[in-house]
Amino acid sequence: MKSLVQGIQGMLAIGILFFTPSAGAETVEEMFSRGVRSFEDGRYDEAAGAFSSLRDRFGVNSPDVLVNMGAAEFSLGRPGRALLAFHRAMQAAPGSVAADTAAINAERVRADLNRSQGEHPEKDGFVFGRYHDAWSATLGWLNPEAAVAVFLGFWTLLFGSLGLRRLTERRRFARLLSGVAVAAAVAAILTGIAAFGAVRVSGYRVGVVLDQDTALYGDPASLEESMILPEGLEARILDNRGGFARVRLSSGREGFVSAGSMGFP
Amino acid sequence: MTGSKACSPTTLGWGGSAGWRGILPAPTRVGTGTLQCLAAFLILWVPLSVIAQTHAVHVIPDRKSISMGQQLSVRVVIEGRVDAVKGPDLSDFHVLGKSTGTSISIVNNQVNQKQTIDLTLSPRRPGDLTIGKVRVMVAGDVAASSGPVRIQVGGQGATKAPPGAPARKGGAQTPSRAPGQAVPSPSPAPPAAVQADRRKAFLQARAPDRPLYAGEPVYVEYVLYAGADVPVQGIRVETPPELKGFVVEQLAGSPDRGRQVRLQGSRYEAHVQWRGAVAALESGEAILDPMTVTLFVGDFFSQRRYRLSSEPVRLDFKVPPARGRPADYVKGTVGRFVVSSGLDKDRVQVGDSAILTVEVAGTGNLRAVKDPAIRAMEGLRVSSVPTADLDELVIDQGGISGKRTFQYLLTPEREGTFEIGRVSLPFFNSLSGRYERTRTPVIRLTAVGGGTGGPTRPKGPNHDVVRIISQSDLSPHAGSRVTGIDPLVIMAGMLLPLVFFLGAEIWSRRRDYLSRNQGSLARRAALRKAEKQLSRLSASKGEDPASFWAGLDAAVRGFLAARFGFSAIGLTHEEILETLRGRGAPSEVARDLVAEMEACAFGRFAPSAAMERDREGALQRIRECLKGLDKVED
Repeated sequence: MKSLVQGIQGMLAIGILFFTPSAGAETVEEMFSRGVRSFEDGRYDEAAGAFSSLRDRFGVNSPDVLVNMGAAEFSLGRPGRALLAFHRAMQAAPGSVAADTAAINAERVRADLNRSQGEHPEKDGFVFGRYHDAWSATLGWLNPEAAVAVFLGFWTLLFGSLGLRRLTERRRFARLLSGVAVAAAVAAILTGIAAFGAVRVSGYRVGVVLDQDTALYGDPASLEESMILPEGLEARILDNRGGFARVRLSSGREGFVSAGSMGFP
Repeated sequence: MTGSKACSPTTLGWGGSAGWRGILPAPTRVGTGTLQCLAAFLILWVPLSVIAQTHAVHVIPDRKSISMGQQLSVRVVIEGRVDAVKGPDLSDFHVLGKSTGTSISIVNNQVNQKQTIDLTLSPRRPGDLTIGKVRVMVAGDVAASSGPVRIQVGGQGATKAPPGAPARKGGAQTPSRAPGQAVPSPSPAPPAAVQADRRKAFLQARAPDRPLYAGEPVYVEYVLYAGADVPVQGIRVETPPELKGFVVEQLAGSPDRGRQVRLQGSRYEAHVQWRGAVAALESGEAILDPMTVTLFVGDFFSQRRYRLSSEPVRLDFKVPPARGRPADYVKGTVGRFVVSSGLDKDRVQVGDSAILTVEVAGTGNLRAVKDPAIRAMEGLRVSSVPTADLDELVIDQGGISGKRTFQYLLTPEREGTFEIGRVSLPFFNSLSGRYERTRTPVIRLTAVGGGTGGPTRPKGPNHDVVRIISQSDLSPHAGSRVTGIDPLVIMAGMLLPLVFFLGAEIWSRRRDYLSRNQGSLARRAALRKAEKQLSRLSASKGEDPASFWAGLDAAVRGFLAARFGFSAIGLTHEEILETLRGRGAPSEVARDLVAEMEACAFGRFAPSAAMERDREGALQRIRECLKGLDKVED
């Protein structure tokens, strides 16, 4: 019995020796703090390295890390990667403080890009902003789930009142149900359009151009680009074909971009 | 006249004093004859009319009184084809510039050639100076001559320009305007004034009559002048000016409705057809190319169209001189500007920010003005804020006027008073022809409280534009994560009300159907119902005779009531027989049935052993009778 206890103690000692972290290692919290300090001291490359290590090597999937990574990338003059990180942060935790911060940062990056655009007239023609089309411009603000719920409510009211109207034998009640059905039909049409648009917009996949002067091709097989896209431009991803992404710009123009030059949140 | 000069103009006009209807020459009337006739008429008519032309020479100074240091523009107009021009004697003047142009106008069926010589002179001395005679020679003879023109030249700044005289470059007559103040409208160019007395309508490009510089936005307008007695019905722009070699910003808005002007004693209505600011891309000569409009003249009953083109106008754009150019001068900063600055608050907490606003207001190439560099003391972080939306630029007669706004966030990182150095903007004043500089005063910002004077963050690219999150538990906090909408839920939500509605519809329709077809359905079901009753009676073999025969009788009567719609209760067998016959039942079957009904009556009230043994036979016979009756048509 004594020898058994001694054996267990020995194995514990060996385990402790093996698994005690070395003095030079740092925790993910320490790495995060190091990234913040680096950023505040203006060592943006170190900050970007720390935050990307947290995410890529240590699997820290916090939107805070993404926000800081985007800030560091932007400060390093890489607005495309910054916007990509902010998009990821917004998608990771919608409605959170981190997502709000990411949204504000993204707007500032776009404003800065637009401002620098004015200083480089040769880049004229692009306006940096969130991807938008007619649907997103009119219904992008709607919460798709709420819109669908409201639509289903009116839909149920419409057919419920129609069904009850058929069942009832009281004329006054039937007339009341007819009025309810007409109103519900109008509301269902309107909320149906709104819900369709909101769901459609929420399903958009938006990518970010990561490389300056990225070529947009009319066809993947084309050798001649139809447009040169600046870094940081946001476009809707319609499809992925091989090494190309079919994208649609806010202007409505469509084309193919090398998938390696696009960031997909 | 150093800025704009007419070059080889070819004008087509009409004139005279007999009113527009009687004097309009055929070549300018479009649509009143065929083009072939018009061409033939011109070929025969032009040479004859040339012979008939007269010669004249006019010397027209822009003013009669100037001071030393000022410039004088003189236009010499020579009418008619001449062999040579002699004079004028300009020994009292320095000739600073000279340009010539020729125009041909067709007036009252006569072709008139007009040569203009524009001279820019500077007096050599004060006093009464003379511009000598100008003589024009035709075939060795003096065809026409002008008289000498006396110019009174005073000391430096001693004289004033006559009212309405256009500003000239340099000297005391062209003081620098306050920035932001529009330069007066360019005065009508001399060609219009000279030729106005002979033409009823003409189109003219107008540009400022002063030295112009490359990059400077210049207000240009194309004005259609129509005589006051010309009944203008409408104007249509045929070809707008192309203005190649310029950066053009056209002034939005419809052309004006016309304003009254007086040129050389004649009243005109001026209609602006195009206006905007143009900036020459390079120094040197640039042309305001012609614009063509169609003028509709007439009244309700008759209308004629005249096609008018402006003369090309040559503009000479200079480069700001190298001499006196400040080291920090930014190329293209031409105009008159004033820079001002201010803080939204002059006292902030350490770490908080104040907004420094720098405004550059004035007239000229405001777009060339770059973000001023802000010189701040150490410990004060300066970051610029995007402010393009605060710029207010308008195109006016001064070219482009307005203001550019630049904003900066000033964030003190320690306590103390910080001085923000003067913001200085050098520019080339296109009116004075000199480099000038505008500055702001020194501004002070006081930072109080809290700060321990932490390290000054080194300036990186846009590091203040974005924010970071300093504290985090690194959890993938979900927020209000959007889980997406399950299509099955949507489908179910849409299908359930539909199913309910369809069920209600079907139920309702069935109810209506039954209610509508109650009688026929009962008739169809009579035999089935009777057979069920007979089967039940057949199954109950031990039943007492009275009940059996009563049940059998009830089944028959029930069939008759349902199938034929009459109640057999209270009717005699004879009446039943007659009724069945009346409903089309075969007599034999009816008789058999009535006989069975009588047997039932016997069975109920006087049962016998023979009848009891014949229960099944009775049931079978009655079945046959009912089947026979069921075949009767309704």
